[in-house]
Amino acid sequence: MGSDDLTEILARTLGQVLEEAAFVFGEATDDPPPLCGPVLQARLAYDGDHQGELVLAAPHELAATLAANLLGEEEGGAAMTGDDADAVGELLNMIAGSLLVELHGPEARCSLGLPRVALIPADQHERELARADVAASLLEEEGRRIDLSARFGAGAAR
Amino acid sequence: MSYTILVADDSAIVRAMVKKAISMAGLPVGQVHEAANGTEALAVLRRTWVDVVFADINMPEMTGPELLRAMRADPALASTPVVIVSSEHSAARVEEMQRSGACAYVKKPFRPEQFRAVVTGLLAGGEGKHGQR
Repeated sequence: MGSDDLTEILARTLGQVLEEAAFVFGEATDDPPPLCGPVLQARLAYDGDHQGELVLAAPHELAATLAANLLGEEEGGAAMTGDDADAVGELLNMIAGSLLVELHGPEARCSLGLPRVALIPADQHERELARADVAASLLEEEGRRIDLSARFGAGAAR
Repeated sequence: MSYTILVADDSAIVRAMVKKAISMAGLPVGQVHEAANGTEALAVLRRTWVDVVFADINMPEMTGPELLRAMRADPALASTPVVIVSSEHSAARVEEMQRSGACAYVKKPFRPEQFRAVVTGLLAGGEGKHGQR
């Protein structure tokens, strides 16, 4: 599978899960705008028949929207209880389940690790994104950027 | 007549989502217990009657499959239905969970109708079991 195909699968899976779980609609972009401010970054390793690590990142303020939408609440309530980090981690978990079936087929035996979420500076996220094997970015309706990236193979997890 | 449910997931937001989906599904649910891992779930199950357990696979301390094995090995819990609610939905994983004794599988992200279908199917005719442990 070529790099363009992988990017397309990442973008499609990211869009589907965001839409279905969090009612966030986005469009893939090859030219994502720079991130401003801190980024909530979730990492999730997987192993089994295939190994690798997936990373989902969203601006901190968008994470509050994602948390509220997952819960079907008004924005603000979820973020105040710290659920925004939990939301990004859980969305990555959902994305990972769908993505691994897309990439490796329904018969592949892969186990997901637990998502680890951290608030990091935007430039640190950009540096890590540049080292990914494949990455896709979506812009949601208000122009905020969400990135999904992957590193494949044993030892990919940090 | 209302049912008692246990939701076991290490993510607080998922526990809230499951509770909301069950509520929106219009099911006759009374008490909903929560657990952040299999160990906590077993503690709840050993002190309270639960009609159906919704459990994640990947949880710290004690995973969903480990919880399933522990329940199946305990005569008092062996017949309590367990529904796996997970992002992992490869055919291999679903088959493995069913072999371990899971009664049904709900894929994340989920919709309230899925819970209605699963709970209605599981609890149909099981009202005689309802009670307090």
